[in-house]
Amino acid sequence: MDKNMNKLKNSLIIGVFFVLIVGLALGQFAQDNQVSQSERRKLTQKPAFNTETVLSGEYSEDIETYLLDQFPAREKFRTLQSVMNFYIWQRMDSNNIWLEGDKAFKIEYPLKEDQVAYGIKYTNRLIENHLSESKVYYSIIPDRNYFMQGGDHPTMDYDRLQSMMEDINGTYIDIFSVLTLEDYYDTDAHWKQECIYPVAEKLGIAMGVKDHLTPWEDYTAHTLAPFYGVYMGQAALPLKSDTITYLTSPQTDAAIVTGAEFSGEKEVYTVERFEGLDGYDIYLNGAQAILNIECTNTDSDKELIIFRDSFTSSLAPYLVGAYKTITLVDMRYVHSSILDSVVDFHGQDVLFLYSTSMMNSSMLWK
Amino acid sequence: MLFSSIVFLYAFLPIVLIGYYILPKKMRNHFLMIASLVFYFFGEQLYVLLLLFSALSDWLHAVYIENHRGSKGAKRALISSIVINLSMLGFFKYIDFFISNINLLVGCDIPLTNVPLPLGISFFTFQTMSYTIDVYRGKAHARKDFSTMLLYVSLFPQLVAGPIVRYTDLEQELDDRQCDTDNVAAGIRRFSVGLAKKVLIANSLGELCKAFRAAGEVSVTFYWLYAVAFSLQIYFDFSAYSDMAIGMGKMFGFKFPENFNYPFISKSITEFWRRWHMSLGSWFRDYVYIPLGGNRVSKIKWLRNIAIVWILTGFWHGAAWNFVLWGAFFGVMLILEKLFWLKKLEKSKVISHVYLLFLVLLSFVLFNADGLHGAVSDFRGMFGLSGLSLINAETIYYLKSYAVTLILAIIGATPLCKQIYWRFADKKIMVLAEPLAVGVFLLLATASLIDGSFNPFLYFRF
Repeated sequence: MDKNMNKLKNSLIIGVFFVLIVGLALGQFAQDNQVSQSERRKLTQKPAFNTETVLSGEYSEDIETYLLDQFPAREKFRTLQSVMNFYIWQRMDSNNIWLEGDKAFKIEYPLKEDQVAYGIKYTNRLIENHLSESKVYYSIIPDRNYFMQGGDHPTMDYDRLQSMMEDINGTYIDIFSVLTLEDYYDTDAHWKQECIYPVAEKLGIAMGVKDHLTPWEDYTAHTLAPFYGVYMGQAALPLKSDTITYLTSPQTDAAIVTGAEFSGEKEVYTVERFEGLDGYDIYLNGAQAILNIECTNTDSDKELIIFRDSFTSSLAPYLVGAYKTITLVDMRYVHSSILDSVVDFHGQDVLFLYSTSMMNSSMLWK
Repeated sequence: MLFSSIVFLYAFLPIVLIGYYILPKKMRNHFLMIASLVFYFFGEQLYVLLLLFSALSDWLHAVYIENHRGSKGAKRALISSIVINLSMLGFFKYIDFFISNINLLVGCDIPLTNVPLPLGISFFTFQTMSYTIDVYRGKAHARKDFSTMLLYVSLFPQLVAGPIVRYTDLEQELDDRQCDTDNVAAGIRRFSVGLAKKVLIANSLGELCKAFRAAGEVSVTFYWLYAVAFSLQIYFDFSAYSDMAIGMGKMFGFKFPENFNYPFISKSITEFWRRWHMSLGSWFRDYVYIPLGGNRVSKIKWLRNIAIVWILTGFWHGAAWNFVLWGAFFGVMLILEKLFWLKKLEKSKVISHVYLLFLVLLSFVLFNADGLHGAVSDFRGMFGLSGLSLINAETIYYLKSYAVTLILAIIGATPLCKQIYWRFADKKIMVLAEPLAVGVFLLLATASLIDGSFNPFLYFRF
């Protein structure tokens, strides 16, 4: 290569490098974003710059997180990384998300026996301390990987999980057998409300309230689209969106929802939340520590408490006709030491309904 | 501040480069010194004072030595400097190791200090020591101005993870250096390659190692896969950091020594250590091994010298017994090679490579083990003594998932890419290909960092 060509090459190298590092550095002065819709989380905002934060090292730690969150064209870079992982590096997953056609999955592996054992001990302690007068039932919701066992991707040992769960002091209701992969969204962890009536029936039979369940033909379906599930954001790849269907009945229409985290009364479905960070929040107003559903259109005088995670939000509306009141408790947000002061235990039926993913991280319970 | 961090790449580096290039030459050293102190302060708010003390101490000692050359005072100053440096290293890096071993041996209960390890202390104390020793030996002149000495000690490209740059390497460049287009472009190229090696390969292999440690069920094959992945990870991690340091050095007109030269193509442990962390090996050779007499002494003393150097090399890497054993392992292998089979190894290419790779894999498993118990457990797993299956579904999954990364890493650990580059270096297409590669490496590394990928740096713990 002659001298001039070499000079041109070196100038181009310097030019490309400086345009990129200076250009992207200047891009960081653009207005900060508050939330990442795709990842469904608030983005880190500019850390405080003062003598205290600088000398304590807090500023050094926080500024990197801030710049990562507010980097120009961040979503494009995330997509580039996913494309790299799947198509260049031929990785079987990208940040634990993997794809099969239009379906996105998250690896739930391995089974963390210490977490499950903690969850079982925690549940038995709740039963012993608060539920001695109640009929206690429990069930486990399989995550979507359960239906992909034997494939290329590792899955937790579901048999071991179910056998460990036998130590819970209650009546087990097996719902694995009435679920298939098609009962779940393609881009989200959750099950579809329109597909889980058999689950409600199975629970209703086991808990002796089947005759009070609203018949399937009394429901009216309403759809909301497009629904971009949690895995879509995590995959950072363009996937086919889902549709959310919610089912109303005379019983759900008449139900009144109250909770500790909001004032007044709400309906079973808060459709306006579809435009929020998580479309699945339309069911029972999303994640809530304690919720009470009062069913005004039922002749049942039974009451139910469900210790639950987010899956129950779309299932509970099916149980509305079968109980006079349903109390939903999410132990991730309520400390067990204050449970007596926020829930009145007086012999209601109790259902512990957790997903396998929740059991595998049950140390989140307070 | 990691070189492979957004704050470094898109805040610190552009500001420092632009500031450096627009300032007049006479102000550049001061600017670079301040930038280097800011760089260190960003990670170590308190220990920046330790860095200043270290530089000041050796600057004063060296000036004294130069002014009293040949006298007993000069020797006393040298000893004083070495004692201060080793005391600093001993206190901040090894004190809790010594306390816990004394507690274990004597059965007492001396509380640990839990003093945090200052970033890069092993690197900058070795640099300052080499400076004072070289002044004592007459190989270098003591600097009269403290600011240039401080620049040498704190120079941010090599401050926290080497290469261990000796003062004699930089003596002239500290006063006068060329910073032309060729140098800057070569520096950018080297830096970009290092960044890609670190973020795209080393971090990816690190994820595989992390997955191995978190796996529900492992197998004998998974143990070996881990051994290969970790050996490649540490090579790509550390050599990438050296590439970035050398590259940035060039951008500022400095020429740092090379630190790695494709160590995995070696045919013996002896050759491996001529190619791995070369600046550390040569430091121990020049400041420990040769002063002890090197190989120009009786056989017993020669063996003693090798043993001392390699136990110190292991200990330099970390305050734990597995590092000491790691160093001792190499010492023993080097002695055995020198006494018995080095010449035989050089004759057979295949056997010597298999021999070298087998020993190096074992050594890095020991290096990365969670203490001695962890090392024993890892070795039992590797050799099928833990009742594990030969292979299982998890192993196949990770093998498939990381196959391309591993293949690229293996190829990248040989000079093949370099040979291909030199074959095309003079072609016209490189006028576009090289700038394009720089841009692509930078963007891909940025994408990986933004996606929140795993981004530790192994040699920071040393």
